[in-house]
Amino acid sequence: MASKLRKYFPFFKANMMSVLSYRFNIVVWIIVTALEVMASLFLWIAVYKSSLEPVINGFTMKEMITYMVFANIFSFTTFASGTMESVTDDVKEGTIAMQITKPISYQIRFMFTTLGGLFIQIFLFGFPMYIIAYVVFYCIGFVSITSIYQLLISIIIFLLLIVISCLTNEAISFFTGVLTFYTNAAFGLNQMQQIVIAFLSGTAIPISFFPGDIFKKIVNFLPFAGMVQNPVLILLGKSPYLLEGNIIPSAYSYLGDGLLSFALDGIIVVIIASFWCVILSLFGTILFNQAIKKVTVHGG
Amino acid sequence: MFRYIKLYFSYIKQSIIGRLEFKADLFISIFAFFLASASSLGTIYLTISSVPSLIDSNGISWTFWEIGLIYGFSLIPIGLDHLFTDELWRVAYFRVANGTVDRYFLRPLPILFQIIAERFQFDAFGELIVGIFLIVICSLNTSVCWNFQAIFLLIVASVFGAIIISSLKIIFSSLAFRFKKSGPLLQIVYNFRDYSRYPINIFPKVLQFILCFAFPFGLFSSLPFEAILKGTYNCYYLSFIIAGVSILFLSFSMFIWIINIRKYESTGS
Repeated sequence: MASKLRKYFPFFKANMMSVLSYRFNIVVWIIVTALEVMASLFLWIAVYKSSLEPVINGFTMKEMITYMVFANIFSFTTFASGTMESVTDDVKEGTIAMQITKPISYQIRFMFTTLGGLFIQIFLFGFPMYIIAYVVFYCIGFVSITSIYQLLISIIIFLLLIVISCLTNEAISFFTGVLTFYTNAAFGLNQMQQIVIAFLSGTAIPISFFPGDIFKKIVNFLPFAGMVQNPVLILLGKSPYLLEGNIIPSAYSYLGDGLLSFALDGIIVVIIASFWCVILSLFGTILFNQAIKKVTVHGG
Repeated sequence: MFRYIKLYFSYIKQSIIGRLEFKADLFISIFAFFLASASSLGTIYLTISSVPSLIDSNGISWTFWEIGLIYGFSLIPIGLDHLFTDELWRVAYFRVANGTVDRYFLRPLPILFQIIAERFQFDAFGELIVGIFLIVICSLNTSVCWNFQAIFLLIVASVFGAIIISSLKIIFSSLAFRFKKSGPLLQIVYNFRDYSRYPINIFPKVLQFILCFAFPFGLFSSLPFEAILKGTYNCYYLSFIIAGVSILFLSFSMFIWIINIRKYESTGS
C-alpha cells in the first residue's frame, strides 16, 4: 500500500514548496483576515453588552470570542485546495486527455497536492497561531482546561479533524472542478463555493444561531458543520452535541458530565466527518469516471 | 478639460466592447457578490437577532434594519470608486513590476488619467445594485424620514466618500512606482472598508478616531446615518466636514502621486 502511494509523493512535495514560496502573500492575507475578525469581535462584544442574558445560544461572551478567533484561524489554515482551479484549467486547455492516460489516479494526485499545501500552512502558520492564541486566551481566562487528559484528547482529535476537514474540502473542490466538464462556468463557482462553505460550516457564526429548529438540524447534518465548527469546539473543550439543534444526542445525556462523555462525543465527530469525507470523495470519483467516458466517446 | 472628458468616453467605449465579450462571466461575478453580501448580512442578522436591539458605547440603540441601511449605503461610495479606479489595483500589484506602465509615460496625457481611463469596471454595478436594493428594503423597516437635508447629506457622502477611497488608493498605489510593488499594503488599507458597514460606536475610541480621520471609512458611512436616524449631528455640518476631509485627502493624494511618479525607474519591458 505504501509503495503504491509513494508515486504520489512528488505532488505533495511540489505543492509544499509552491505554497512556501507564497508565504509573504499569506502573511498579508492573515493581517487582512485579522482585521475582519476584529470587526466582528467588536460587534459580538456590543451584542453581549446589549443582552440581558450572559449566555446566548450556548455561548458566553468569552467562549464566543475564543470561538471566532479559532474558527477563523482554522478556516484560513486548513483549506488549502487549489484543485478546482487546476481541474478547470486542464479542462479548458484540453490537457485533461493527457492526464487521464497517466498511470496514476487523477483524484488521488490532487489529494496529495492539497495535503502538501496543508502541511506548510499548518506548520508555518497554523501551529504558531493556534499556540499563541491558546496561550493568550488561557492567560486571560477565556479558555479553561478541566484536566490535562481533556487537553490531550482535544488536541489529538483536533489534529485528526484538520486532515479530515482538509480532505473533505478537497473532495468538494474536486467535484466542483469536474463539474466544469459539463458546464463552462468557473471563477464565479469557486467564489460561491467558498462563500457557501464559510457560512454553513460555522466560520461566520455558530450553527446554534441559525433560525428555526429544523433548519439548524439540516445544517448540522450537512458535512460543512464538521469542517470548521465541530473541530474548533472540540479543541476548546466544548462538545458540539450539547448545543441546540443537534441531530445526535450527546454522550453527556447517557454518561453524565466527565471526560469519557467528551471523548465519546469527540470520536463521534471524527466518525461523522470521515463518513462525509469518504462519501463526497466517492461522488467525485463517480462523476469523474462518467466525465471521462464522455471525453473518450467524443474522441480525446 | 473637455478634451479629457471626450478622451475618457473613447476609453470607456473600448472597455465596454471588451467586457461584453464575456457576458456570462460578468453576471456570475455580480451574482457571486450578491451571494457574498447576503451571507455577510445574514451573519449580522443572526448575530443581532438574539438581542432586542444593539446598544453601542454611546448608549445609542440600533436595530438590524438600521445597520442594514449603513451596510447598504456603504456599498455606494465603494461601488463608485470601484467603477472608476479599479486599474490602480493592477498597477500596484504587478504592472509596475512587469513594466507595462511604461507606455503611460510615453503618451502626452497625465499618467493618472490614463490609468483611471483604462478600465471601467462593470462589476462595480453589482455593488451599486445591491447597495441601492438594501437601502430601499431597510428604509422601509426603519423610521427614516427622507427630508431634503438627509438626501443632500447622502449624496455628498456618496460622492465625496468615493473620492476619499480613491485618494487612499492613489496614495498607496503610487508607492508602487517607488517600490515596484505595493499591492499588499494597499490591500490592508482598503480592507478597513469592512469597518464602514457597522455603526462606528461599537469600536473603541482609538479605532473610531482612525476610522474618521486616518482611514475615513466610518466618516462617510456610519456618521451620516447617525445624523439622519439618531439626530446626533447636524446634516449640513457633517456634509461640510465630509467634503472638506475629502478635498484634503484628494490634494494630499495628488501630491504624493506626483512625488512617487518622479521617482519612477523603469524595470524595462
